[in-house]
Amino acid sequence: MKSHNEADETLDPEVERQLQAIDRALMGAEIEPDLAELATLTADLREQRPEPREDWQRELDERARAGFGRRPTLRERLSRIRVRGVLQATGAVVSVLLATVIIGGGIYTLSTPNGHDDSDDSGAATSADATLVPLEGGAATEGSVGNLNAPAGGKEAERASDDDGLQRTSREGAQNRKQDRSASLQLKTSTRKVREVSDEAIQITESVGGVVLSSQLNERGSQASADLQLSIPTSELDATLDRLTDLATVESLNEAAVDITEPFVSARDRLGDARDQRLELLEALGNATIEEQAEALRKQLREVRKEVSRAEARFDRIAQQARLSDVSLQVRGTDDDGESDDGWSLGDAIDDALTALEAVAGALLIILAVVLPLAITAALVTLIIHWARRRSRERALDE
Amino acid sequence: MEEALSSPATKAPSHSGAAETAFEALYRSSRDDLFAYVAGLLRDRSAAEDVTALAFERAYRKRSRFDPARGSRRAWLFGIARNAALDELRRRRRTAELIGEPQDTETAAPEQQAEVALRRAALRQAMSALDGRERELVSLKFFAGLSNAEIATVIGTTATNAGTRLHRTVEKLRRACDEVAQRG
Repeated sequence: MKSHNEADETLDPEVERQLQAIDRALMGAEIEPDLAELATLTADLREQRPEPREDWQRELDERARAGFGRRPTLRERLSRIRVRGVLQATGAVVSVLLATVIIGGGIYTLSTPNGHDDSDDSGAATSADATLVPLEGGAATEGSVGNLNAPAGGKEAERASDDDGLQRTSREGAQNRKQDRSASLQLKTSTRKVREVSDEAIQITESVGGVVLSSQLNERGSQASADLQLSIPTSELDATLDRLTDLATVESLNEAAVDITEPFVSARDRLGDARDQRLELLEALGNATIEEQAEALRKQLREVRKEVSRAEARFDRIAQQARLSDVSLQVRGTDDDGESDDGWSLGDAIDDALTALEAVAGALLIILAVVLPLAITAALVTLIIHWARRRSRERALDE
Repeated sequence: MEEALSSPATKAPSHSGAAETAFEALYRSSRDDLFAYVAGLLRDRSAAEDVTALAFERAYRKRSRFDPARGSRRAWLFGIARNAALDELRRRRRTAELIGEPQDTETAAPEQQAEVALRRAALRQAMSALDGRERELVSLKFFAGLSNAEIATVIGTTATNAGTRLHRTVEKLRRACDEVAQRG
């Protein structure tokens, strides 16, 4: 007989003939005379077959009739808890939880004021186009942080500006450093809403303790615009700009910040020195016993008082620069229906649909990115467990 | 046995229809074969009874999950029994002698009976020298009467491989029997 390899797809013909002979012998059929020995072996092996006891057969038949319906014991139930099943269930629960967190987070982001899709934005560009440019006129020194220029970016531009290093830097340093901040905001709305937007801007300014330095409203026929100069407490500037940008479509938002920590500290120190000097003179004057000496001290005191006044004025000016921020607000009216706040055109609908689809696709992508590795891992773990269990069982045959 | 299962008064409610009927038929046709296979594998009649019953119980619970695409119903049942038997083997970590005694029912002449007895004693000795995998193949083929394709499904290999391994085992038995006969 030819040797053969187990991996071969076909059996050796002689092997196949003998196997077929065994099958025929098992069925009681006649086989070739040259394989009589094989038939005998088959019969002898068949005779070795263990037969069950009759009472066991009856008992099993009873159980079969009852549908094997007995309640499994605790041990059996515990033994049925498969590691694979537990892992699969755990994996599924973790996947669902992660997906829930991600979807929930995505929905929250989409619905928050800084992450929303406001109708005011429907005509605005959806991508932030913010660029950081140096301050003009050499005003940008070390510590000054530059000028954020966000042209016609709508509220997306604000979001970008919020995220930008400029404001982060200014916020992080706010505790110790002083900044002279200013902003220029251009809003666009329908002509008939220019006055309303201006009024709301003034209300917002006053509500945060700011001051309207000047306001000018121009209405001519179908055109209208408003210019407002606002002074906003620096601590409220970001929140105020957020509220102002909610009033209409943002055409541009420019923010600038100049670090004035050094002049602020210098003015404060100078004022302190002047006051100290005045106190020393007053003390010396009180101790003076000679009239000429006292007169000389009074003369010095007058000079020092003038210096204190100048230092106070200088310090107040710088402190005010740090405390208040100038905001230039321009509201432009337009009759362009395609970009008006009131109209909701087919283009707006398409934009909204695309935005929604982008959000959904993004969420799905994130879910996929999380679930896919988990699923692959779970599948691999399942395969490994299955393989290990099988090997473990098979080892019992080798012992 | 058939009567017990098919009796209308005692038959389990056939709510699951075809699966229930198919399981009944499977039980009727496989009970003794399955016991024989498990007993051959475990070499312990008592344990074989428990494992066989457990295998039928598991199969009954999983009867609706049977997938014809993955093999015959009989091979599926033997696969379940195999897992249960191997689990039992692992638990016990021991092997007991095969209790199933050869049942000589032939009525042959005394000299023939003596020859047959000698031959079968040699065969039992040869079988005791088989390893677990070989013993399983013998049990599946000669005790349970499975086809090579069914054996392949049960042990998780190809039909060709199963046939090859079976043939090797038979050859091994033949050689062992010859050696025993020559020594005798």
